Amino acid sequence: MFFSWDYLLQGFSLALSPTNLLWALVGCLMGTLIGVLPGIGPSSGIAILLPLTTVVGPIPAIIMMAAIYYGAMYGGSTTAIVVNIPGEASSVPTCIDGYELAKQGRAGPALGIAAISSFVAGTLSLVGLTFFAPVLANVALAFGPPEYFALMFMSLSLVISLSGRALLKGLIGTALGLLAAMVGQDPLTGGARLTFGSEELMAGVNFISVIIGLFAIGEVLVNVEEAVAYIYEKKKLDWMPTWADIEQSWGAMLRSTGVGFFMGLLPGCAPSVTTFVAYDLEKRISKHPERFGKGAIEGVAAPEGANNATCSGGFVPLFAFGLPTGPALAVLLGGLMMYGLQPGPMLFTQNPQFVWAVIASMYIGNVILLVLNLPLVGMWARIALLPFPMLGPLIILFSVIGAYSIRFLAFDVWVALIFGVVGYLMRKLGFPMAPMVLASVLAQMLETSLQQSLLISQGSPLIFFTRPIAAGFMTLALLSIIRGVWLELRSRAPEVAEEDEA
Amino acid sequence: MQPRTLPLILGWIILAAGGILAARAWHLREEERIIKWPDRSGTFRVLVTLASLAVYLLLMDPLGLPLSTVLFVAFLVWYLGRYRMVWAATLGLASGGTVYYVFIRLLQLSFPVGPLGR
Repeated sequence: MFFSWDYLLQGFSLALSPTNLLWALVGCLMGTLIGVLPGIGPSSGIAILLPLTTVVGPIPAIIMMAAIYYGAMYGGSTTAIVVNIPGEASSVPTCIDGYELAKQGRAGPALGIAAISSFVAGTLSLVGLTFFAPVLANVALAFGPPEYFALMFMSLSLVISLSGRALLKGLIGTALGLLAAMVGQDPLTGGARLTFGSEELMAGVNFISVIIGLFAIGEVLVNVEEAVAYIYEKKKLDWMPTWADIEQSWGAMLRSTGVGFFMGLLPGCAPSVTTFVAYDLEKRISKHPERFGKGAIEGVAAPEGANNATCSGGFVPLFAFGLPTGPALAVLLGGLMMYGLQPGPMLFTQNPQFVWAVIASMYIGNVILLVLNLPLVGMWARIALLPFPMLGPLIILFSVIGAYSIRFLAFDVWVALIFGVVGYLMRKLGFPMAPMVLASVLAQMLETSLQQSLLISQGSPLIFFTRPIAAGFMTLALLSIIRGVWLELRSRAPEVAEEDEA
Repeated sequence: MQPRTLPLILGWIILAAGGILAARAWHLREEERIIKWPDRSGTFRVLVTLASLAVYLLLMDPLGLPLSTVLFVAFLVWYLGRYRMVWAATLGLASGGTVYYVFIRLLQLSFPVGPLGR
């Protein structure tokens, strides 16, 4: 894998040809539209649209696919902000502050900042991808199962401490989330557990159902109970982010680019991890951490930037080893292979014009998305003005469709319904949501890497402390646990999750 | 490691953390309550919403997604908003039609279609 200006310029000239530009535009538009359909996340969106790319030739088709990918990613965050339905786990941190902003009539600025942050982070990490891909690809190779386990252990402990003073409740949420995701088959041996003899439970509980239930349905139930008339009472909407908003969030954009890009290089480290880490980082270094969860604009900029940076970073292992880092990229890999492109070390020597055309078109896709989406912000923001008795049933309808379309099983919708009740109760009892969500997303990889590591070390847990990278992550994790426990012991107030404090 | 090892550990964690929480709650029992439990009408609204969602899911297979959507949206909009029947029915028909057109005709996803056919 190597870089040359020649190839890059050649790629740009290919991607900038009028027809290819048109397909990139079409891809962005379709991707955004399907991503905006509440409940349909980026990966299912891309899967649905893949067949459409076959009507054009291979190069425009791949350009279109990349555009769909970016468009769907962006569209997904729109529903997270406006109606609190995260289409993918990576949009969960966006919900936390984004939906709060929407409730304050500031959905417009939130969406605008999301678009700008996506653009900035996406473009910066593309520069990283363009120039440093070969060096970076080697970083990923240094990661074995122990490192993965340590990394995921660290993200979980960070997120538990994100629940502020509600440490125990965060811990319980995490354990419940892990437990829910463990229903079904053991990832290594295939042995069934927690299925109570039911065949449907063998297939496992899908984390998208868990997320849709906890966030969308749970929130609707709370609003139904309180007979809310409008999620946003006043009629005046802010349309665009102000300069103050941008000033407030540019630091978050840059930091989240770094977090997202470098963590995105690791195969298996999906945006669902990096967005949480970026959000947590912003909350920690903020001078006013208490604003997070109540509509802090940085709380939208950070996960959105990290999401896009991770997506671009994820192309490094995808191109270099053919390893998709997340579900959406896995679908994209399928698309690439449809055109006879076998990502791997040989790709850059065998099909240079393909690769560089795709990279160039990603730059262009980022620009198109920004231009396309900023004018649409006002339209989406208006959804907050619908009376809740109309909006609520529609949110449930789309939650049902979203949960159903994961595997086309009614079972997944029932799971979402149950977790809707769980989410309602958690809101009432002051339990934080984020730890449970992240736990259910990471459970499978966490367990797989733990079991693999213990196989390597023949059962000794010391393996997590003897390898330098793993040891580093574990130390950070332990420090954050110790800090959390210390804070917990100091305060004698009853436990209430910060994000739910009224 | 057995398939049951981690689930068992997690069970113990939940039990222990829950125990500590309960013990603390005992200590703090004199202080004011933070949880706002719903009044009777609020509980009733939540239960009706959940029940209508359950009925929606049960009807989805025999009636198909579009028809059951019409019924569900029309009922819940009418129930929550106290709008006129006609208005609620219109909204239900509109969402059922959109669902049918977008998800079944346009995107050709395999939702149950029911007696309407494709």
